[in-house]
Amino acid sequence: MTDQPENSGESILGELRRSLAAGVTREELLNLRVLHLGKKSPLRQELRQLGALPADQRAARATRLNQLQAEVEAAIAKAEEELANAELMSPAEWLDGTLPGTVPPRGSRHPLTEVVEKCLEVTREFGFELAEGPEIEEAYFNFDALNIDEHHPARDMQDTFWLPGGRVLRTHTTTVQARVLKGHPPLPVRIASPGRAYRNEAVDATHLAMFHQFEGLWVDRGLVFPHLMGLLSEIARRVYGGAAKFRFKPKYYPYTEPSLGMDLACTACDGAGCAACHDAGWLTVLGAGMVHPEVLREFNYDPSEVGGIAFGLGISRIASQASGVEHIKRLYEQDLRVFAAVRRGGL
Amino acid sequence: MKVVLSHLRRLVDLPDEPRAVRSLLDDVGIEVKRALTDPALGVVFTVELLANRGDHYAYGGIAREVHARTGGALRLPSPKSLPQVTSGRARVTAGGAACLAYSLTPLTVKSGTGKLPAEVSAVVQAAELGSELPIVDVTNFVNLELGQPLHAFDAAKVVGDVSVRFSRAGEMAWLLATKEPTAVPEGTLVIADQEKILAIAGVIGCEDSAMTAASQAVLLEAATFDPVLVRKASRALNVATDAAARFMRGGDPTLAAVGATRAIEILVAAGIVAAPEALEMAATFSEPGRVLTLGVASTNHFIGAELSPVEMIERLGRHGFSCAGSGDELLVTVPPHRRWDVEEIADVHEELAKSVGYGALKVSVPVAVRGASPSAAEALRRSVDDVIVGYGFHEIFTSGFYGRSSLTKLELPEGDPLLSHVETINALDRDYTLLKNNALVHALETVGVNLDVRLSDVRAFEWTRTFHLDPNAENGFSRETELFWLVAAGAAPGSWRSVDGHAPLDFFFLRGVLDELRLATRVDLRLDASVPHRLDRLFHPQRRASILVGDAIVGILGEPHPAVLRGFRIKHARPAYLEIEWRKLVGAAPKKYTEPPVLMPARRDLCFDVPRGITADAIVSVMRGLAPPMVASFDVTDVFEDKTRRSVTFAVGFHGGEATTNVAMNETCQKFADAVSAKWVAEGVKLRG
Repeated sequence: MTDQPENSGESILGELRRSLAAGVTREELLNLRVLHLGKKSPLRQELRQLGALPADQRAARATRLNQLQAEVEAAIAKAEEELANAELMSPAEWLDGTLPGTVPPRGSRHPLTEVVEKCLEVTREFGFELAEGPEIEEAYFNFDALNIDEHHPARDMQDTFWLPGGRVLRTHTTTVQARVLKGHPPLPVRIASPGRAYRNEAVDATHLAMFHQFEGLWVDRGLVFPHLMGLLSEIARRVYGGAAKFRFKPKYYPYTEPSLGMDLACTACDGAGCAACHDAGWLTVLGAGMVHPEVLREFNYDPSEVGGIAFGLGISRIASQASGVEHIKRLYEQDLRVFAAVRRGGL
Repeated sequence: MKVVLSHLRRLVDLPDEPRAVRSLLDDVGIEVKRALTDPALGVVFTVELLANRGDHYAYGGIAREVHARTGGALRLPSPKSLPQVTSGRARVTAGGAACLAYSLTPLTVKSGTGKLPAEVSAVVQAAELGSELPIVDVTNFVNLELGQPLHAFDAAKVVGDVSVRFSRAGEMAWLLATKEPTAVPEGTLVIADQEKILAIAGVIGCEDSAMTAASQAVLLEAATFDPVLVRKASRALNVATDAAARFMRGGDPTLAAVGATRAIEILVAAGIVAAPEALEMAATFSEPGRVLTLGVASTNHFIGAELSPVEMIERLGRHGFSCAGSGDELLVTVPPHRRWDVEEIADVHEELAKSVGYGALKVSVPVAVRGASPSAAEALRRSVDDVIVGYGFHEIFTSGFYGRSSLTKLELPEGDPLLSHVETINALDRDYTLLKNNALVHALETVGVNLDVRLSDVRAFEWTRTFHLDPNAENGFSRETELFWLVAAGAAPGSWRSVDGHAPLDFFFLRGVLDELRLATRVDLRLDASVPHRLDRLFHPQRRASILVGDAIVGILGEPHPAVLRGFRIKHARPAYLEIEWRKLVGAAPKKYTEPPVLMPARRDLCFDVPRGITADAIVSVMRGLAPPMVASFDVTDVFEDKTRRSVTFAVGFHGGEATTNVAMNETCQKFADAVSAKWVAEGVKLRG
């Protein structure tokens, strides 16, 4: 070999390439590696003998041997890669990716809870903090403190479950606002109060005695009607998405003045009126107003200095729209198939 | 209220297209709930009116509201006025503001079958108030058109003078469309003759003074009564009429004469009655209107408009307000028809805002200096939710009530504390009488509902409240407990790669969830079967445990009692139930990080024969009491049970380190085995193998 180094090297490489071209198993490839790159391989032997060469030949020979070694290594590496690729394509490695996954399915939070969370997230950005209160309530907090005296027509608007001792099941979560203001906290007051409320109605396919509300209250100096509409627009934009179309209209609530309602354009007809919205075009999703001066006075705030924004979102309706469950009552039933279907969302 | 579009159009300018009219009405706060085209009546709107606006309960009121918004021509009827005399048969003896205006005018009937104008019939028909009596139809029409309720008595049935007075103790009235007289609460405002009550003021007339087709003469009544008195009478007698709905929201005390005149005008024109010489007024309203001071600049700032004083005066004028002044301060006089709902300047602000249109006002997002963060309670709820949902539970909402039939399924003995409930006293539906004092009823109903539809995997949870009578509570009456509950029944579906098949959704499944909740909430929740819970009676006596934090009971985990399951007709499942009073978990300790050991840990297994009745926790407790510092953990790794034997295998974990030699570990395990065996010698606990 020392005598014919060039030819010898070419011979090694040629032999290797011929072996590889004929096709090898992983074991044969390992043997070829040992044969051509192992300690006893001719190549290694020649490398060890470089020191015996005359100085003027040594460098050129070393360069050639290193080059040869690199080519052998590359050929084997390439063969290994081809072998690995071929193994990956073997029938044993085939996987039916259409079989179902094995992760246990998650459950779901109720669509109403998701809506409440979304509303809390949005209102938190404006500094609203969660406030909660009892569901069994004093008539004072449910009515009188909110400018609804004993013979006010508005008491008819809120069919009430009465309890012994002049107590009620709260007919709205506005009671929480009254309780917070009763404590006369320092300004600004910014609270969000989601929760259950009750109406004493004959229950049928569409009516429930219990429902959910989400109310907000902001009491501060300098608040005016444009602030109310601005805040509501922002909340609605965040909750319903920027493309949703809204309008404001006058409403009446005893505890706000001026009062307004916010309508959402029917998503099917964009407010033009269609069968889906019973030709109404619009759906009321929110009631709001400036806190009535009488309510502010009740809690020792001077309405000439302090104003208030109050709003209530019809979260059942939002949840119904978001989940696609047309009949809200279905969301209050215990049929778990409904919630599994809501989670799947038609998938 | 049903509104015939063609008649509304007679009173005020409206857009041509019904849809545009609908939008306009919505824009002024008169919400159109429905629009139908009737072959005879044309377009009829069903509108929802603002509860405080008595004046809206009439075509005229709606027309005025539209006029105020658009400035379009208003054409309210202006009947040729009749002379008014104060002499007559009626007297108002009720004091105060009980009756602000009262007119009782005799009319001679010429023909009981005269033909009424088409618009009268259309309006009355749309309101479904048509009768066989033209005079009655006209009184209803005037109420619908102008908002002035009228009533016609048969003059022949009225004995002597008529008085507007408060009822006396024991008085009876034979209300229209009833079969027998009704007791009238003392102090009710009534219209009475010398012998009997003719009508409940503002609410309903009486059979024994009602006019008929044979009536030769009638007494036409037009009045304005105090809203609160009308409301009280309506509620006390449980009678709801259109007149009462109008009066209890506040009538226009100047409208009585106009309304009576309008009715007489129609009736005379139709040849039904002879023209009277005068209206007989027993009470006439003459109070000056309330005056409010309106700042022009401050109003513009408040509502987001740029109205000049002149514009404000003009716009308020359309609503019927009169104004004085021209600079920055206007004196606004409230008209009689708004005396009930316009009490302060905020009410006037609303009128001006409406006249501009809410959609045309400025909008400005208020600036919040800083946002808010979720509270500790909110964060805890979120953590709990994440765990529960992660384990496949679906959240539901049940009612705050249950019916007595549900309660009987619990098979509670007489005198059981769980039979004590907060009860509503006026529920329209009897299923809404009992406020729930436990959540298990709804949990088991959930299981039943879902097993009935062949769902084999039932996992549900709820955040709810229970209600308990408690005289020591803050309100002296009741206490509300905030809790979440989970129920699991059936089996979790295994996957096609499962080794052991389906996982049962049982006690131990919930036990696992509880362990995860402990980690998620950082609250040391522990089970103790020896501690009683108020719901124990409802659970299997050997398959339940109280959940504690420290010494405080915060919940229960267990299998409902078989008798209870039978009550709910749950036959082929053994559901497990967990509830926790979550407010008691708020304020958890912060998370702590412990560096994993560098040295390899070691483990020894100890398998004991353990008869039923001795818990794994009890054995671990004995071993833990003897454990040297090198012991890191005790874990149950296997349980074997058959009819006669039961064994439990514990893995004892050791920290790696120089002291953790084989000899030391073996000696420690032997000590554990000896102590455990010694403690339960009589029960036969011993180390296996």
